[in-house]
Amino acid sequence: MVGLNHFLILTSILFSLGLFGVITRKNAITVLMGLELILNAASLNFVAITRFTDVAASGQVISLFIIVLAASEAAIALAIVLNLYKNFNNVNVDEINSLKE
Amino acid sequence: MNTQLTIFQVLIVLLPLFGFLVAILPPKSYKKMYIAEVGIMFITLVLSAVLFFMKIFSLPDETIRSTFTLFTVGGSDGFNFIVDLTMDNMTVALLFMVSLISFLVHFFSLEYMSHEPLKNRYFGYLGLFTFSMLGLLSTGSIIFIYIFWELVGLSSYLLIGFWGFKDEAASACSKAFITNRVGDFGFFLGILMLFITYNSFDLFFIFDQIGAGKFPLGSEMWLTVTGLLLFAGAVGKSAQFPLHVWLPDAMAGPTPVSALIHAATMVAAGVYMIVRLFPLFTETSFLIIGFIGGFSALMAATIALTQIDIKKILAYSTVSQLGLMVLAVGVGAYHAAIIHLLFHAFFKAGLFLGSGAIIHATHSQDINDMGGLRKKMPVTFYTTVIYSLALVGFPLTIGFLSKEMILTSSITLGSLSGNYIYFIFAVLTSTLTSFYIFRYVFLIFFGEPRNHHAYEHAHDFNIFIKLPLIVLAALCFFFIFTFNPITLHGTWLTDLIFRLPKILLPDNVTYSFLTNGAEGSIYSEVYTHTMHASEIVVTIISLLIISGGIGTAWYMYMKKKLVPKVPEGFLGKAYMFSQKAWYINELYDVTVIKGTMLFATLMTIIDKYLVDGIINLGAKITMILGRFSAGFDKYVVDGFVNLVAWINGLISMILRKFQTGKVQTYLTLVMVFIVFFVMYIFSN
Repeated sequence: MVGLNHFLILTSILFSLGLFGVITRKNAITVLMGLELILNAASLNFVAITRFTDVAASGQVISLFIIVLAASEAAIALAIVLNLYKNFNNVNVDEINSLKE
Repeated sequence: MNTQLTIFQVLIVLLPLFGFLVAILPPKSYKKMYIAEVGIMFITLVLSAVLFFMKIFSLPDETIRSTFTLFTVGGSDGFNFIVDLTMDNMTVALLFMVSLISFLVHFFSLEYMSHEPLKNRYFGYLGLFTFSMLGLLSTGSIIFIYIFWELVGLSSYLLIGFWGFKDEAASACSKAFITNRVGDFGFFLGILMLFITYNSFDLFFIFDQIGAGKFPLGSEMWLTVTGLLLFAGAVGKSAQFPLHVWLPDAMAGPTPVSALIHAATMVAAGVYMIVRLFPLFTETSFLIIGFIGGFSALMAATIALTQIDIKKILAYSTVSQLGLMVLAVGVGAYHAAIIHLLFHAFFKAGLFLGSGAIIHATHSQDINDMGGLRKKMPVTFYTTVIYSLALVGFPLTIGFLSKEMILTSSITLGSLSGNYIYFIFAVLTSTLTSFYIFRYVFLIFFGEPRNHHAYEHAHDFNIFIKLPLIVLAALCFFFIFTFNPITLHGTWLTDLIFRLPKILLPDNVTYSFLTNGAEGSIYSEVYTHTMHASEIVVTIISLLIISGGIGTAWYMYMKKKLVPKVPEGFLGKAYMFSQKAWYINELYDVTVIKGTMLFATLMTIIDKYLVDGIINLGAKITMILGRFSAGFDKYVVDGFVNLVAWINGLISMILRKFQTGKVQTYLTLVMVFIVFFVMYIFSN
């Protein structure tokens, strides 16, 4: 029988993988993909908790909201990446460290 | 009618001020503004002539006063500061005289100053002077007399120093100003005495009060003191002993200025002032005033005997004649003083303008450069002779009339009181006058030319020089003023123009022969009687001394053909005593000036060692304190600040390691801290 704990473990693994991707990858696109994983983990978490507990259906609404948010985030983030490429001529986040100065 | 006359008077006083502004305000490129100023003076002259005749013919008996309150001090019942415009017959006559001479001097200056680059400034100053002098004559308030008194002093200062690039002129104008300060100090104290007693500056009010028996500090002695303090102002302004020293030096100014200011008008302001204040003087004040006047007259006449600078001769002559006027006031001869003031203005201004013409022609003031000029400068010669005859009091001239009045009044005082000293002063002065002025005439116009270069170039100039000389010479004849060539008593000059003031001091305070009649003050019958009795004696004496003086001058300079030089022996000492002006300047040098210098040196020493010492000590203490606080600042305050900075640096050395600038590092750190935070929350 698949229970809430299974879902939570799954979302934790998904979240950790996403975080790992965000922190370790050099390519900005890959970082964005990790970010999508994190968002999906959170979304799944909401759905699962709504399904297995008797709180109202707001969790599903929030997950729908997250999907919309992820879409718009992707649009803005890709625009940022394009601008990064224009300014620095690459998308390698390791080399974009002008914040330091 | 009154209003009309007042408007005329205001215009007459203010027009020269307007002329001053017209000449002085425009920028330097307007070179011809001075002509406008001369035009304005001409309008002033015409207006004052109109005013004179209007006043004399339509309102001869009134004193027209218009006053308004400028401001009030101390609430509604406080002291009102009142602007005062007063006009009686004496005022209009003197206004006419001043504007006439002022205009003639302006006219003369057009040629005399023709090579002068700063003409606008010169004529502007003349306008300022005329304004101040007319204002001085037009007020019946002692404080306004004082204000204009200082203004004439200022314009005199400016004009004496007009050629201030010459050391002589620069020091002469300061000398005139400072010497006048001494007299004006007394004048001001006198004004304050009057003010604390009567709480008013209005002379007519003060006279009324005195007539009613209210004296300063309640005593007759203090009235005498007040009168003498006020007289001190006249001593300074009218160059009486001991403050006469500035007038001869003032000759460093342009000669037309000497004619206007230092002969005819400003120096007579002192005499005018004591004539105006006539009801203020007690018998004691009169006697002292008369003595100072007589002494100045005699002293200046002896000095004038031996001068070789032609302007100095005239300057000492002016001091001497002013002394005679002051003496006339002193002997109670109100009319004689003021009429001599008026007449003296004409012939002395003429003498000065004549000397100006000579200086303009020969470029020298030394009498040794003159001689024989009568053929070269006939107009100057004939007019100068007329002026000189008027000065000595030759019959048929105005000088005869006024000088005879002075001599008669002083001998009358002598026969009434037994005090003949004033008469002796007057007679000796007249004798010396007739000698020195004909010495002047003979040495300049007769004999052989002593400087041929100057003689060759000498000539009469154009109309600008000639016209003023001729006008003033015409005024020297008696028939302009009266049909009686013998005496002025009972003529319109004494009975209409220069009437005795209406109010006099109470009995036993002033001269006993001055009494209060129905129409105002009059001379007592005894006095008038004695006066008429002595007239013939005085005329004879006066003719004798005139012919004696002129005869001696003729004998010495025409017959013997003497030239001015120091004689041998005792006479030489006397000669030097006279030429050096009784060594009074030298006396002042060793007393007043040396004293002041000594005092200044003493003050310098005190300043240098005591005051500077204290200041330097203070500075040293401040420096030590400063050094101490500098050390404290450097080691304690700065040390603390540096310590803080060093610690900050140390901490940031560690913290900066985390600032890599890479987004991922920051994210990792955020995550790590979130994990710790969550663990912390759940552990509780």
